[in-house]
Amino acid sequence: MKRYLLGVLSAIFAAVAMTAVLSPAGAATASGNVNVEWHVLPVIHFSLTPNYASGYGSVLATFGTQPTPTHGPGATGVGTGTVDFGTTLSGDTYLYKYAAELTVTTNDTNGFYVYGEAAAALTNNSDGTQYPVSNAVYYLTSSASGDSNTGFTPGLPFSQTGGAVSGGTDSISNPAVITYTAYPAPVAVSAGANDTYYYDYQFKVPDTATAGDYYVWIVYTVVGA
Amino acid sequence: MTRLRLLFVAVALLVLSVLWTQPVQATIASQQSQISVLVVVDVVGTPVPTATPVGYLPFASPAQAGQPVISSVAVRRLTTSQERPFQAESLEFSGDDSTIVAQAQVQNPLLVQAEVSPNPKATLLVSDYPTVTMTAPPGGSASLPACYFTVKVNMSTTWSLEQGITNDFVTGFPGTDLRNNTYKNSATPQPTSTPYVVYADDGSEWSVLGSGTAITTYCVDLTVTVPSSVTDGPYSTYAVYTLFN
Repeated sequence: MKRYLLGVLSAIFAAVAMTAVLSPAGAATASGNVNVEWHVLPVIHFSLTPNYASGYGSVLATFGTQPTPTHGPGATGVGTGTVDFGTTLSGDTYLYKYAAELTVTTNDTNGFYVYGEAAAALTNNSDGTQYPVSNAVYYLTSSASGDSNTGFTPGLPFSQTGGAVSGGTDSISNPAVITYTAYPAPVAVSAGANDTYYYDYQFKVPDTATAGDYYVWIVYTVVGA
Repeated sequence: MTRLRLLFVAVALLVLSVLWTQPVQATIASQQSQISVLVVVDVVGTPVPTATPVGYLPFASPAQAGQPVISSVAVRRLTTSQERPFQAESLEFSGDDSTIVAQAQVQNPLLVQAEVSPNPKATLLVSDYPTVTMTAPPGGSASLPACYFTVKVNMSTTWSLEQGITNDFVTGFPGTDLRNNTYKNSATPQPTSTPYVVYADDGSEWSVLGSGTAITTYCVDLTVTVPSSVTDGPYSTYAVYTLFN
């Protein structure tokens, strides 16, 4: 008998519960609008062209008549290779003309940011010594042609990234990649969807630099605004 | 005839004086080294006008008839037990408002190389800082006091040292807004700072800082005054030091 009563009570509770779950909201239901917003990631095309114009190469910082640019073997031609200053002397400053052209095309009408950082310190591949890149490698705005900069035209120093770096040996076939958790200050900001930037580089060779072959990867990152 | 003879004598003396003085001048004015210190003035602090909120509706009871219900939806960080693996390109969590921003990024690297050889004259004239940075707001000023950087002449024979800056920071921000107080490190600072000579504006000339016959270190303190019309951003010029013997 008890078992029968328990069964009946269970059935009643189950029926009530099912009714509560399955019945429509009825008069208590309210309707409203939900505003859903989303952002579509912009499409970014970014090309980086080294030695972007004829006449590219390195000149010693001097006042007056400017020397003819030269370059090292890594700068293999217009639009190719590396920015190779060639033979330099410790303590001297050099300007590298037509070093890098950055062309950015996006569908982002909010514009974009350009970040440019060194992946590591300036490294002597011959003996492993390193020097702060912010004291050695600088960038300054240039032009598509008719570059009038000299080794004494003021620029701004590159900084060594605080991001995680992978790759980046002295071989052009092993480029550096920076993974950011926070972006640094941009080197350029575009308010429009497309833009082109021209840069020369300067190399202030440390006074105490040991002899050898030096390298550093400069990594440019473009992010939609 | 006498006049002609006198003229010949005068011309001869003139030629002799030129021949005699030229090598001496060349000896005195032979450039031994030239270094530059990049001076960056980071202008920060242009007042930003207070933004007027667009469509801001303060939180209120939704019971008011005819008023829209404003629903605030926040994305909360998941607890460890709720974490699920996912992939996104450059996903960034900013601040404590739990806003998730997914951004597209593209990256390109560039290899910079150089072959460095020792320079026997590299240490004749050295500075302990190749770059100095000052931060000031528009209309404000900043100083780098107390022998902030040094310029050292490592010569024990007769030398002279010249200085100046290469150019103005930008139109409307003249290089003369940068003043230096340069003194031997064994001495006390000058009573006042003086503007640098600006090479690009002052006839392509430098000013003489000093001369000597012994190894000498100069202390350089800098002060910059930023015009109020200058907007935020980095501005730079080179302080150039040239050593002659």
